[in-house]
Amino acid sequence: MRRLLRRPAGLVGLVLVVGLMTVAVLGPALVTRSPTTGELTERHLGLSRDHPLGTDFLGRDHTARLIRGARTTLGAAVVVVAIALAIALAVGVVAGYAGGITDSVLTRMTDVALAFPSVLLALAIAGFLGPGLRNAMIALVATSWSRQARIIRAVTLSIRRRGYVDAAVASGGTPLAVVRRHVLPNLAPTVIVLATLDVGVVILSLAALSFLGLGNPPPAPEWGRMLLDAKAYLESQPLEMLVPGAAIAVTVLAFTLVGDALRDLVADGPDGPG
Amino acid sequence: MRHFVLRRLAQAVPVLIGVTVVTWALAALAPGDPARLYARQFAAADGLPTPEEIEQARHDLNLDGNIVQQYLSWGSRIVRGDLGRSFSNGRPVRSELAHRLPATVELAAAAAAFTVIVGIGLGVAAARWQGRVGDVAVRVLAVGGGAIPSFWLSLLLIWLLAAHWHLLPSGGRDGPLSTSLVLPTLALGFVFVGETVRLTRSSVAQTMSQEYVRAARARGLRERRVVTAHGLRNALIPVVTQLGLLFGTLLAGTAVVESIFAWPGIGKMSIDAIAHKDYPVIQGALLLSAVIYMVVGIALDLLYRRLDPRIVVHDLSVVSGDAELLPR
Repeated sequence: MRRLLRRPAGLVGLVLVVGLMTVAVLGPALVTRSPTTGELTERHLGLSRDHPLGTDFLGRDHTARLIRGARTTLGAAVVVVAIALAIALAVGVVAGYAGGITDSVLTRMTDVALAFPSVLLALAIAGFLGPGLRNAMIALVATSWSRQARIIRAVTLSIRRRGYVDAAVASGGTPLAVVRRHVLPNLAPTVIVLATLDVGVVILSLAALSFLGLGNPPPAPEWGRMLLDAKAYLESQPLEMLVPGAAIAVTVLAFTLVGDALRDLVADGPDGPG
Repeated sequence: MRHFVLRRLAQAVPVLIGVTVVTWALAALAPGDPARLYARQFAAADGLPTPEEIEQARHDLNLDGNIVQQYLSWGSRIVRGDLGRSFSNGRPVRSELAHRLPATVELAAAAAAFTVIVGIGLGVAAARWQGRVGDVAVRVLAVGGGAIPSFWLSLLLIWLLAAHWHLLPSGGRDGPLSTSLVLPTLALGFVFVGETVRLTRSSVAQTMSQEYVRAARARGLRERRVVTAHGLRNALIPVVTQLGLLFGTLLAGTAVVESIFAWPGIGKMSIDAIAHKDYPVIQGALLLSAVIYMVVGIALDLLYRRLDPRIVVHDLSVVSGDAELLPR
């Protein structure tokens, strides 16, 4: 942790991530205005003391929508990454540890999932299931576990070849015990890096789905949806498109910075340069 | 080498079968009755198909019999190249796809070219300027660029270059290689510039610190010649394969950008099809892009083997770019 803080990019990212998480958790307490209703007389307002980030085409307050949207977007992304990682861990560790036929079957399954371009597959799944946040999340889990499973399998394979794993197996450890005591702890750094980087990717995809109208139906506040609403007023009200777009970019950037810094730490190893 | 090619192809067969199963299952398991959707286009003016029409549609769509029979009859049609007919206009999906493919290929190729020129150019520059202001600026751009969603960038470009300054058309396609290509190319290519810059920079920096580069300098070669003949040639091997993979991603990932710019390619076609629950079109587009993606992947593995015979292939697919996460 201390070494993470010594990297300026990682530090900036970490501060942003903590800030965004705080906003997402405290969300409802921070806003007094409703994110879903507005005064039609207050449509398309610019920046003001009452509406720090202006209002949209229905007079709804941008600040309120942005803050409530943070909760939806971040919350959904974290859940998607957690579920996808759980699946990826199960598939990757079993395939990498068991080897043989089990490995071949699981690896082919992963290859099938990887054979589809993820954006298009997520769109198709969300489209078949119908619009809604839950369906968008299912689509994203279905398309993101395979990337992680592939990496986790490769790392498990390399851990499997180490001397102490052989020793543990030779001294009579059951596969479950060896995996729990030796494989999982050594996988932890990889998994943490994967998870952090993936939150950014999932937020982008989630915003893309809701931008295409496959997220929560209106009037729910969601960043991608806000961009979709703003698209119609692109020429006259560019501010409405700048606000949610910047929010998405900053959030993704924050997770990428932290993930990159963590990845460098993992690559350097425990004794590497800090 | 021939052995490697054969094994790689043999490995693709079960994956391809899996791809067809997934594509078929998506439509088969989706809520709603495809037969009803399909029959709607033949229904009388009131829009509601009769039970006989739905029964006929069920037969046309190979929805009789149990689930295995359904898949097999669908699969045998696909193998023969029959992708079915669009629910919304009744035209064969295959000709629709063939009609749309050139636009998507054009856009993906333009975006790939943009990425290569800008990404490799900036990456080499950053490696040469290592640690100086220019290097830092390029790296900030590289990290920041990856965080900008392509759909937001599209809106920004339309706002500034089309709506505000009226420099370029904001959408549509006025024939091959027209000005309407510029904005979608920028929006699609920019996202991948950052990745290319990072890869090029680290690869060039690593190569330039090798002994043979020092030897070339010691022989008194001009700096320009050292960089191009010794540094770049070797540094670009990983970049080239990564870019091939990128082209596959671009070709398949054009959906969002195409739909914003009303670009008449496969991506826009799939998004429109999703909106109308036009199952055969979605399935056709998914199958086509998965096949393209797989072919590109196999071609790259072969290319990589040729460029760098030192590669020992355990897992056959070499090009994944995740190696840096492996513990050492």
